[in-house]
Amino acid sequence: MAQNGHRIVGLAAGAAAAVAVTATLPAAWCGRGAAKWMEGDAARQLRLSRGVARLVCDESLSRSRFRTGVSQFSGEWLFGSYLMAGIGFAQTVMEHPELHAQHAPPARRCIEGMLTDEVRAFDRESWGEDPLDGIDGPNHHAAYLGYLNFLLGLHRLAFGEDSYAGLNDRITAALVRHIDASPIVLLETYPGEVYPVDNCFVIGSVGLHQRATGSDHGAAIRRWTERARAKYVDPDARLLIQAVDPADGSPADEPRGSGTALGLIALHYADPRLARELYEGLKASLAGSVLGFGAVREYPRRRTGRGDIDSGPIVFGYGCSATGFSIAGARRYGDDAFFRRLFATAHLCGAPVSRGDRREYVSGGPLGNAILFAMLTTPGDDGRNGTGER
Amino acid sequence: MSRTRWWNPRLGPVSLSVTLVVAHAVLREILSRYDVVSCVFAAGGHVPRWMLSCAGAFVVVRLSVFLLVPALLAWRLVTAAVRRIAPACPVSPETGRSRGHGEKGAL
Repeated sequence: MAQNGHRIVGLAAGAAAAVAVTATLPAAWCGRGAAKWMEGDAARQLRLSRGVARLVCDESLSRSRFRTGVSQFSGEWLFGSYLMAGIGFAQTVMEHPELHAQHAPPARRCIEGMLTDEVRAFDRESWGEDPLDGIDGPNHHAAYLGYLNFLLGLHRLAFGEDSYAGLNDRITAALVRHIDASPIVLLETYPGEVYPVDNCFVIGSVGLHQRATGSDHGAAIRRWTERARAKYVDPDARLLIQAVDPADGSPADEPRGSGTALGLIALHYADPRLARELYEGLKASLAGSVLGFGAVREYPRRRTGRGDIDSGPIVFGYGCSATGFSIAGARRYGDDAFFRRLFATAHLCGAPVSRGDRREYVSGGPLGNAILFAMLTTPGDDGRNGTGER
Repeated sequence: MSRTRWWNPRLGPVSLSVTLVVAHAVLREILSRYDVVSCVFAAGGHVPRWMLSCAGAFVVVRLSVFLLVPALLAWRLVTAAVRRIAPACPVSPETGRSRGHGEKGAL
């Protein structure tokens, strides 16, 4: 009897230890580097930047490198890899100006990559017109021009005036003209398709241009943000609507985590208050935690929807893209606890590996590594970690 | 007399943990050479099945290494410690060994 009792005590103690360890140790282990990333540790940023430079800038990337199965999506991912890597290089220079000379060449390669004929193809195939040839025309090209102009503006803030300044001025003027002419203030990504998240980058790029050059785009920014706050932010969930009807701006999709988490990164440069409100809405409506690992839902609770190319895989309601993009908001607003939890998830899912003086996320590929580079180096909104203000 | 058959190795918590850690290291090395994320994001008929299987196995093994292995080792450590601090037990006349102390468990 005593022997059986002893065995039961042993098993119970073992089970309790197993549960306690699972609930605490894995997240603590995976999140152990988070504090250094939050502080802006230059050595960590440099190691990841070398990995991203190898994957995105040194290797010759092409659409065929991405196996999304849809030519347009593969083109978008190629474009996105250069975009996110370029954002990361610019942000690291904002935070550590001593990296200027070292990061200028890969940053330029990212912009050059986005300007290549192959990268422009995904937009050209949708519009039937090259986006650079159509800058002064009637078509919006919101995705290509908006995201490109955002990087050009950030590059200008970080590296100063260079040969891309003229293109930045020209695209900004075209985007402001389109915003002024649009009754719904939103521009079309592709013909008949309007996504507020892409438009956050459009207006964010206009805000960046204003910061970098001192030119006044206040009227366009005010008109855009007033309309967005009233029509494109879900009043209950306080999240960005994912897609709207181009005819009248009415919602064509649910408010979602992936669009909100990505959009608020750029929106900060046009309307920091609205960006902060979206971040608080995202945390209140979507943030969750499993065993200490942070995760962000794609759809608000009590609303359901399918996963798609924007959301990535959705597991138990938590979205891959929403979780990854939220790292930027957590760092921008100094949300240490949420940042640590999300960082732990990125570590668990990304499987980082160090090779010599560089670090790469095994499961990320060029796009995943570039996204994490951009998210982990997002500047703070209160002067922390380089705001880019000159 | 007990026989240990080659197809039925005594796989305990420690040896299972070691196996998982080794499998994790091998799969991580393999997958670092391929763009896994786009396969997982856009899983469909066009994705090579071996690559998808490899990615799926890696996910399972990595989650196991981080979530299961610490639990297994903690369980093994605590149960072994409890057994060790247990009061001395009488030797069973049937088995001829001290129950609770000399029991030979799998690794």
